[in-house]
Amino acid sequence: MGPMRWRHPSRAALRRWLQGEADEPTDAHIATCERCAARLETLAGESDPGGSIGTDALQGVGRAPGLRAALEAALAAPSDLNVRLTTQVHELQQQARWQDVVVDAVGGGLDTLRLLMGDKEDDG
Amino acid sequence: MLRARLLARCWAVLAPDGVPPGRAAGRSAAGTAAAGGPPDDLRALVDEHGTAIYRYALSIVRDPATAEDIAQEALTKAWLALPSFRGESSLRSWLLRITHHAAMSMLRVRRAEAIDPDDIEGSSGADHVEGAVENRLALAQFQRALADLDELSRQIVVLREVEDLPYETIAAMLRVPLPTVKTRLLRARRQLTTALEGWR
Repeated sequence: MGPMRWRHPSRAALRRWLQGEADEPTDAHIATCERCAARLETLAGESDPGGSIGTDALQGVGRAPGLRAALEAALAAPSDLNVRLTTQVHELQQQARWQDVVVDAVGGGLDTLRLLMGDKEDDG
Repeated sequence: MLRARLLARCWAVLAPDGVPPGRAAGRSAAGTAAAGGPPDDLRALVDEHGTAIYRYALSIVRDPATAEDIAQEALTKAWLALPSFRGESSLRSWLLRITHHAAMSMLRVRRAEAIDPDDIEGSSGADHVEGAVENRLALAQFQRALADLDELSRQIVVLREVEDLPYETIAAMLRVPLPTVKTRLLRARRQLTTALEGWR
């Protein structure tokens, strides 16, 4: 993102931006300009009097799924995802615990050796 | 002394809730499960937020397998950090923030390996639901439009439209100014709406 442009973009430039035409100076400007963000919302409302763009009114229009439903369909998770995730997370946690046990055992080093030798003497 | 500590550690691994007998449980009794399976708390966490975490990860990386890896990593981190969750934000936005960091790390690695997400996009996450959608072509068109959005816009539109997060939370999570959130959302909605025409 480049430095912010001090002059506000024209309505035409904002319209073009809304249409998805990349214009780096405009892009950089509106990224930080509250006033132009508001102008864009107004412009979007003018070109879409039904308000489907600036509001959440897209939900359930005719046979068309709403934007949310479409996004959920496009990013749908596998049906068994949660079962797999639960198992995977649990297994990872178990592995981490075992690693801790091994680290504790090995890290004990001399203490462990002393303990084992002590046990041997006791046994004998 | 050491032997007792090792035994306690082994018990922590073998016990379903990781708490030796005779000690106060760190999680509630409801958080335990029989036969060493995942604790009920973990199941509940995943059931409630797993899909949202996966969906958000998928919107960033655009590859179902990678998104699942990210979801797994995020949930593992979240599960371990859950006791320190202070409730300053909603649990959902906290989890999505962890997911965001996990996905960004994954993307950094992927970019370092110079793999384009478009190269692995073939197996879409929507394969699982396509049969339930009336017009597959329309869904494919919508997915293309979603993929055509820049990464930031895709994240914003998912966080706002699907997860209902406030603009301010999204701005803080993604570390972008508030106007960026609003304008990117506006443009993304417009572009996606065009793609939705196929369903009208």
